[in-house]
Amino acid sequence: MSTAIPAKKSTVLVIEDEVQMRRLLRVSLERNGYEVREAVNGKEGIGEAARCQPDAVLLDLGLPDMEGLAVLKRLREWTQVPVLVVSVRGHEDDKIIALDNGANDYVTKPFSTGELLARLRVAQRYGQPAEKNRPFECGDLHVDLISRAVKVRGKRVKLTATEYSLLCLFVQHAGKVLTHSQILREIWGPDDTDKTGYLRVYMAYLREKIEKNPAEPELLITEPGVGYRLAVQD
Amino acid sequence: MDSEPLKPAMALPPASTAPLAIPDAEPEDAPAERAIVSLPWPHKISSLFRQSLVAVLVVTATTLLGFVWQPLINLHGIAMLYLLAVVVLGAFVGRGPTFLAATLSAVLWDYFFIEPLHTFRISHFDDLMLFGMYFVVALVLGQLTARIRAQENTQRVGQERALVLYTLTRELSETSDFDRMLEKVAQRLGSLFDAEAAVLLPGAAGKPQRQPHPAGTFAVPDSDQPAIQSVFERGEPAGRFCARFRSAEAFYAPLASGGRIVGVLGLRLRQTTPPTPHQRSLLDACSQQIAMAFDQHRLRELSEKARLLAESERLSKTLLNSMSHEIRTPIAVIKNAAGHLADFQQDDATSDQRAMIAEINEATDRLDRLVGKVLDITRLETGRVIPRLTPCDVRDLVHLSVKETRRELAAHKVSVELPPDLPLVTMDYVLMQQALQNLLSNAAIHTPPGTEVKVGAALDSGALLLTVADRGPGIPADSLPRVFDKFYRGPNAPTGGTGLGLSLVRGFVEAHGGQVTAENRPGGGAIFTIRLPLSPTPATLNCLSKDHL
Repeated sequence: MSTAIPAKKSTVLVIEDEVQMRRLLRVSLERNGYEVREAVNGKEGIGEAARCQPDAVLLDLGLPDMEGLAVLKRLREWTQVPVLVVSVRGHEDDKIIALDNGANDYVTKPFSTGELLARLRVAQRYGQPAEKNRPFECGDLHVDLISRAVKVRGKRVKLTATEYSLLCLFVQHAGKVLTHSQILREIWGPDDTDKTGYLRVYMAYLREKIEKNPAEPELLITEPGVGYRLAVQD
Repeated sequence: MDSEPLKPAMALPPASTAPLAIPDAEPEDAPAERAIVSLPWPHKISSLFRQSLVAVLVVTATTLLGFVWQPLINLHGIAMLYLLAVVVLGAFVGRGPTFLAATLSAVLWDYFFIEPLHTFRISHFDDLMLFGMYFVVALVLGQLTARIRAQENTQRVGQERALVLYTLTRELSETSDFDRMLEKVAQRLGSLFDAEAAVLLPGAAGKPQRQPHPAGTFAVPDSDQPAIQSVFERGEPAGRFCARFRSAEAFYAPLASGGRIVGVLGLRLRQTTPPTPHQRSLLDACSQQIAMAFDQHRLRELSEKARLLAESERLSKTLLNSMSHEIRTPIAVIKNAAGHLADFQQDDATSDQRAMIAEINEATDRLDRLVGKVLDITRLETGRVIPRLTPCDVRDLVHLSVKETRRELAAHKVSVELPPDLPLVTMDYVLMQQALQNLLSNAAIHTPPGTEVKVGAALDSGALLLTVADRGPGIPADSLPRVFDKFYRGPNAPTGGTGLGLSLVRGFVEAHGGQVTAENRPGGGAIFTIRLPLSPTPATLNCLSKDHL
């Protein structure tokens, strides 16, 4: 599991009220080469984040003293540190609100260690928008943002302007889940955030063009009730 | 029933639209006006007769007094005596009898006291002038006094009426308890109209309750029910003294507020004569006050109910949130710990140890699913599931559901059949995905491995059909109507199910205004069909057409 230990140890701040969960996360993260700081509530979490300047924050949305969301908003007032929120299934609205308020990604309880580490890596790597000069590659898909070339299995694919900008958005945030409203705002502008229908249609078009089997997409993954994610391979 | 329901005995205008107007009644013709609250009130005609009689008697008595005092006073003094009698009469009787007294006294004065005596002739000019002047003065003075009295009466009636209404309103607003309020109403109206009072409230479905409220002071006889029904339906008074249901024992008036009949007031008057216009207008004013108080009470109850509902909603939301957090956290801990165990022991674990870890994992997943289902059922039952409707891609939905249940259905032959031109369908993606996944899990549990499971979507007359068809043992006929019931498990159901999955499916689908049905297929197996009504989506988005690609 712990194949690639980062050269310099990254610090992860875990803001979680459950002591068992904290112990467990400490074990998982330390075994995988992270340095772990803990905070048991939102207030402490915000203070600790200011003190230790972590490389990533793991934030439980179900905190007792402050809503996890409030912590996220406070953090986003002064730092762009990647924040991964921990939520439970059935609370899709919470996830969407967290993502729209600057969370980088989420994991759903109960999650496996592998899933957590993968999300953490993605969040850290793409915490900042990707540099445009490096072509994106994942599986059969090759996207060069500079020459605006999209290739699937080495073959050039023709995309319409909307499809291309949609794909660009995913490439720039590869591995990160994008909510419907985030995508709609980016592609169609701030006035069209309720037109989920457009998005569904263009996602279907895009899948037809870049997926090996559009019925079982491997690149553009649906996150039910939340949005879409462009899968990245570790 | 009234035998002559159409004969207009007393045509009351509808109380809900206009107050009972006082017709051209002359209050000055009535005796002491406190009768507005104390009954019986003498009838108008008989009272006029009585007053005239009093006038005649007083004038006669004055004449006799004139005879007695004749040796002491002259005819001018006697005229003054008559004048006094007329003015005093004017203060007690109506204008007509005063007029009568003035005329009669002039005639008698002329006959008995003016020369020549015992004739109606007047010999001296100054006597004639005196007679004429007396007649005019008596007439004018009498009429003036009568008018002043009439005005005073009207004023007092108005004051009394205002006081009565004020007292009633204050009593009603002071009482927050509805039963106490009705008791007050019955008491007050009873003493006000010298009657027994009853209040009838609307029951369920707008029908009046048969039994009056226990606060009333008389038992409504069964024979009066049609009258009450008619008041509820038409919003007009009925019963005794009214055009409709005149043979009823009591008089029934509507309590109307905001165009709605909030109740019926029953009054069994002790008087035998129809209520006077004053009584009617007072009763009408009282009814309006009572109806308003009823309405206020109703609104207060409604807002209280809404507050309680909001509070219980907040509680249940808090409870659900903390439940899902509290239960899922330990599950997450167990699952993660088991994952670590598997990692640590990758190389040197015995196969038994690995099997145990796998058991822990599987049990945890099952527990997590169960908790999820119980929470979902609770959310459904407390009405907390509100679909977030967005246009959704049905293909995506079906494929994702199949993918998510792939592990459960690993041993089955799963096939997906989708028409090429499915439109976007407005629904809650997450709920419908859960519904479809539950149907698929259901098939995985209840059909033997190796059999076929077919998932399909189709359009059928304004609805989207999502089907899951299997080739398992089918559903016993007596179980068919109950498969979607909560905790219902078929007689031969294998262990592992909870009896919650299908009831969740029904809950989620019905939250969309759709239906789910189960049938046995010809050739064996069962088919579950979700039927979702299509709501219009923008025409341009209706088809994921191939020509674009």
